[in-house]
Amino acid sequence: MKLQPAWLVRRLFEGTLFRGVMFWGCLLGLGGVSSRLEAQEGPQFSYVADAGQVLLGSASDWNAGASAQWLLDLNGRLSFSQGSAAFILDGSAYLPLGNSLQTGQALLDVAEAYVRLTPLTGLDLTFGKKRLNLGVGQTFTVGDSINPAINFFDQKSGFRGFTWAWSPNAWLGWTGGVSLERELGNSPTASAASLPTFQANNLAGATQLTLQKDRFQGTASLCFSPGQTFNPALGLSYDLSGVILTAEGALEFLPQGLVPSTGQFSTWTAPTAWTQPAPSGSVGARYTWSLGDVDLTLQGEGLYWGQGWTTEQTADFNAQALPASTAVSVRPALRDRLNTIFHLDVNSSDTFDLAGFGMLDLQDASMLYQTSLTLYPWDGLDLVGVFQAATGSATNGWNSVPLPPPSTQSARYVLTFQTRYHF
Amino acid sequence: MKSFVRPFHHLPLLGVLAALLGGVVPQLLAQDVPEGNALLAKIDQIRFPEDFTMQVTLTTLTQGDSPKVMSMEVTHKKDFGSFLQILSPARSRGTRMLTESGSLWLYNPHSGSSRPLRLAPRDSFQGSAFSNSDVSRTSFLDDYRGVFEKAETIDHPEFGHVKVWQLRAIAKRPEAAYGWIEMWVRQGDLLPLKFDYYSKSGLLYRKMVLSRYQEMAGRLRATEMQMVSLDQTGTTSTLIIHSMKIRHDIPSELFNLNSLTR
Repeated sequence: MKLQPAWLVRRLFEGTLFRGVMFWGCLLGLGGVSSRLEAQEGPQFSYVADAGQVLLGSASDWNAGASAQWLLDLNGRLSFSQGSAAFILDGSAYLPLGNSLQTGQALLDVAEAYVRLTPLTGLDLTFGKKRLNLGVGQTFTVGDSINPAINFFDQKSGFRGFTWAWSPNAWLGWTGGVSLERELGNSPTASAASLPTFQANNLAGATQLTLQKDRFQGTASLCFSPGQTFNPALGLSYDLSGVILTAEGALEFLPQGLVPSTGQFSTWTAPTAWTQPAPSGSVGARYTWSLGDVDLTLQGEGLYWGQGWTTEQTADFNAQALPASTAVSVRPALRDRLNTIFHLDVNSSDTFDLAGFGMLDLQDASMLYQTSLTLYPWDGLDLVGVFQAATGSATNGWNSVPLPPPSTQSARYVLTFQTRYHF
Repeated sequence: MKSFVRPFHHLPLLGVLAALLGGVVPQLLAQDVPEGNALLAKIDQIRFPEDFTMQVTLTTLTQGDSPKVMSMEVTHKKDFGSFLQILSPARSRGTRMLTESGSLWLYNPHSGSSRPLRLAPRDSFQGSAFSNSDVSRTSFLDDYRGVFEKAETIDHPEFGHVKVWQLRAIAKRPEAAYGWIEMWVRQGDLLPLKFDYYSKSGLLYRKMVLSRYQEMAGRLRATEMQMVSLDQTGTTSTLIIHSMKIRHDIPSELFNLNSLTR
C-alpha cells in the first residue's frame, strides 16, 4: 500500500480528544491571538528530516530462528509558525518491504502534533499531542518512575491534551499538562489495553516547577489523577567541575501494583492508599574526557522503582513458577526493582560514534544491553549498526528487547543495520 | 651668588623632571600599559558587544578528512548567557545550546526526546577545535582575571610585524574551560591578535589567531578566528562572523530551559 495523504491526515486527526483540542486550539489561535499575528512577521517554516532504510533481524530466543524485516522510513519534525502561533508535527512514517520488494501496510507514528500559542512573552500553551518532560534524570528520570505502572503518558511518545510552559524569567519555569485520557493499567492483565475513550472522569496530568541557577538545577514535580494517582517528586542536578550529578526521589501515595499472596490473582491486594507510600529514586553521574580527537563519555545511574511489591513478595511471585505467558503479562506491575545503568560513548570529531549501554537488574541479575556503531562517511549520511539483547528468563526483569517502531513486539535479540540521510 | 643661583636656575627643570618621574610619567605609562583586568575588559568589548545576535560559519579541517562546515546563529545577552542554534548542516540543523553562568544545555531535535542534555563547558564543540565555552561564552572577564606580562613584537598574518602587550588571563572559577590563556593585543588600539590556551595542568593545547578586522556592530572587530588544536593532530577550526547586530530587545526568558526545547 502506498502512503496516501488522506490516510495520513485521517490517522493524524483521529480520536475525539484530538479533534477537540485541535478545534479549540485553532479557535483560540484565530481569535485570541489574531491581533498579535497581524503585527508580526510573515509565516515561517522549518524542518529537520531524514529518510533511509532499516534492515532488522530478530529472534524470540537464542536458539530460535531469526526473522528479518526491511523497512523504508521517513522521520521529520516540521514547524509552521506565524507570530505567536505555531503548529508542530513530529513523527515517522514506515513502509515495510517484503520479498520481491512488494510493499506492506504503511504506518505512521506521530510523537507530537500540536498547536502552540504564545499569548504573552514566556508563556506557551499547546493543544494536541506533546511530550512533557519531568525531572532531571539522564537515561531514566523521575517522570518514568513516578508515572503509574502503565503510563498514562510517556515522555518519549507524548500524551494528548493541553500543556503550558511559563517562564517568568531566565531561572524559573512552570510547566504542566492535563489530559482526559488516563491509562493507569491497574489490573495486572491490562498492560496491552488501548487508550480509553475520551471521558471526563479520566482526568490525569502532571506539573513541574523548575529552578535553574548557575550550576544547579532543581525540579519539583507531581503526577496526579483523582482517586488513582498522586506522585510527588524532587530532582536535583549539579555540575561539579565537569561531572554532571543527578539525584531524584519520588513517592507514590496511591499504589498501582498488587501484592501477590497466593497463586490466584483474585486474592492479590493493593497496599493501603496514602498511608503506605512507595518510594522511588535514582542517582547518577556523567563525565566526558577529551582524549586527542576522541571524546569519551562515561555515565552511571542507579534506580530504585519502589511501587507495589517488596523484594520478598517478588521472590514469592517468581517461586510460583507461573506460565511464561502469564508471567510476562503480570511483569509490568512489578515495581520493586533495583537497576543500575552504565553508558559508555566514544565519539570522534563527526567521524564515528561507538556507544555501549547496559541496564542490570540487581535483584535477578538479568540485563538489557546495546552496542551501536555510527559512521558519518560524508555530510548528511549516517551508517548505523545496532545490536540489542536481553539475558533474563521469562520471570526476570529484563527478559526481552522491544522491537523498534512500528512493531509492538519484543525479542531476545535484535540486530539492526540502518542507513539514514539527513536533508 | 652666581654659583648659588645657578643651581636654582635648574629648579624649574628639576621640578618638571621630578614631576615627570614622580607623577606624570606613571600616569602616562598607566595609560599606555593598562592594568590586567582593564585590558581583559577591553578585549571583551572589542570581541563582542554586550547584547547582540550574530550569524557565523564554523569550518573544521581534520587531516585526511573533508572540511566540515557548520552555520549557526548566536544570541547573547550580558549577565544572562548565550542561545545558539545550528542552521546547517542537515544532520545538526535545529540543535540548540543554552549557556548560562556555569552551565550548558543542549537540545537535539533528532534525538526523539524533548529532554535537554546537560554538557560540560570545556568539552569539544561539535567535534571542532573549539570548546563549547569558546563558542557560547563571549566574556573572558566572567571566568578569568587579567595579569599584564610584558611588551613585545610578534608577526601577525594581517598586520605583519606588530608591537603588542602580552597578558595572561588566569581562571578564577572552577568552571572556566582553561587554566589560563596567554593573550597578545596590539599596542595603541588594543585589538586582540592571538590567544594561546593552556589546560589546568599547564599543557598548551589550543592556539587562536584573530584577523580580518572589519567595522561591525559599531566598531572594529575581528571577523575571523582560527583555532588550531594541538592535541587533535591536524585539526583546525575557523570561525567566520558574517553579520552582527546589537540588540536591546532580547527577552530574559530566552535563557530559560523552556525556550531550549519549545
